[in-house]
Amino acid sequence: MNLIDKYIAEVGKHLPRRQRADIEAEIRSTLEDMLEERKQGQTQDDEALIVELLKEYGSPREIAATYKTHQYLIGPRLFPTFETVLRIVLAVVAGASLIGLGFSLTKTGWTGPEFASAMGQWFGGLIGGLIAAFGNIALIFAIIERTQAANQFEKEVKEWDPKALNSEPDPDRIDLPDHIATLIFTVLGLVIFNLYPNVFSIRFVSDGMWVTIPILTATFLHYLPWINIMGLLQIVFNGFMVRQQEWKPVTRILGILMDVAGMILAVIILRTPGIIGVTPESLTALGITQAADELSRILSSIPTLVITVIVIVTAIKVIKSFIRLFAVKSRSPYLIVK
Amino acid sequence: MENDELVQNVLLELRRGTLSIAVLSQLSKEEYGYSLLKALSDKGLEVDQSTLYPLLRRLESQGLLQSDWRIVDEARPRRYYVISTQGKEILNKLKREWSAMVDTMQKMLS
Repeated sequence: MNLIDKYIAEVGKHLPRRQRADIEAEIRSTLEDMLEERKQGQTQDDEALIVELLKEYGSPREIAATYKTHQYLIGPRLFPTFETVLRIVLAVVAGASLIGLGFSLTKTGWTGPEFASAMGQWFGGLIGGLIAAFGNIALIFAIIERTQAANQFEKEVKEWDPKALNSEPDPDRIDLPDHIATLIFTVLGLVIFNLYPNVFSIRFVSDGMWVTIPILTATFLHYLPWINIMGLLQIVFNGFMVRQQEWKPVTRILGILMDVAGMILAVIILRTPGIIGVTPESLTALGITQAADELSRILSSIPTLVITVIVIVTAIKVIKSFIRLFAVKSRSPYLIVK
Repeated sequence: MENDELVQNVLLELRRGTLSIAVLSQLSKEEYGYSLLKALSDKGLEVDQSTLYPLLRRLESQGLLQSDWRIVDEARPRRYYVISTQGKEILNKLKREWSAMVDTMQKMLS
């Protein structure tokens, strides 16, 4: 087997099986033609000429690659759809993973080795989940790319009707019911916290008398001025947005700041010890010994659960706002007050 | 990116676009790969084997060329390519388009 045979065999390894023999024969024929021409009037030995010729012709892998029609996994036709699907699925995987983390943190708390271990496990799981999701989606799109499904895609592209844009939601339009609901609940919350804080209490009949244990203590109510400031800001902001009807970069940034500030305040309050009035002692003092521990344990785990939910919900909201903020290409650089 | 590299990239795109027309135009009589390479080179168009051979296959799979293996003059077996009837029709259309394109570009560049 001479060097040309070895070269052709090496190219053949990377060629599609169906065309291999034919392409190999053609490369051989060309190489021999070229060699014959170069031999004329040359004093160099055959081996040196062949080495020079093959070097010029190209590496076997490179030559084989030029015969392949599919040089990509997912082509330009399907790539935008692939990107969209990938974004959605990765966001869902990350969201589900965060919710899972929230549940495990209600068991471990926010400090200590159990917390560290839960965080480690969560992070490993998240990375693994994201990689698996990416791999599966890439595989599905690679299959679509190589099958008839791609023709269906082309058909849809050809039959595309600009009128269909009318049914597309405008990403800059505000979600009106969401803002109105926030307004109503913020007003309600402020009224209750300021005027009727005892609404949050446990009531029961003991020895023929109604007994009330307030759930929120004076420690909690100590934060009331801050809650009021946040609440009023929310009312002003949501009222403004309901009037504006449309997101602008400035209002998106304001919204993000309000969400983050609200989250920080909530976390500070909920991490303060003694904000909940139902303790084993307060229950025992009232003669409730049965299930006192169990009841107070359930109530004391509520802040951690609420913190987790608040952090997750705020994170999702803030990420969505950031995506909208940077994804919108043509936007007005100023705020029009209507 | 250096200016030279930018120029090379644009030239590469230009050559890639015109190569199919050049190849079809040279195959009114039978040629094998290497002889076609030299015919193109003699007329001033230098093409790599790694570009020409896959292009010949593609044009053949599109029905614009026909080919068969033959031994001529007791030489080694070679694959001879020639333009097909469909290829001739396409080449005529492409020639007209090319002339129009050259006119347009000349108007723009003059």
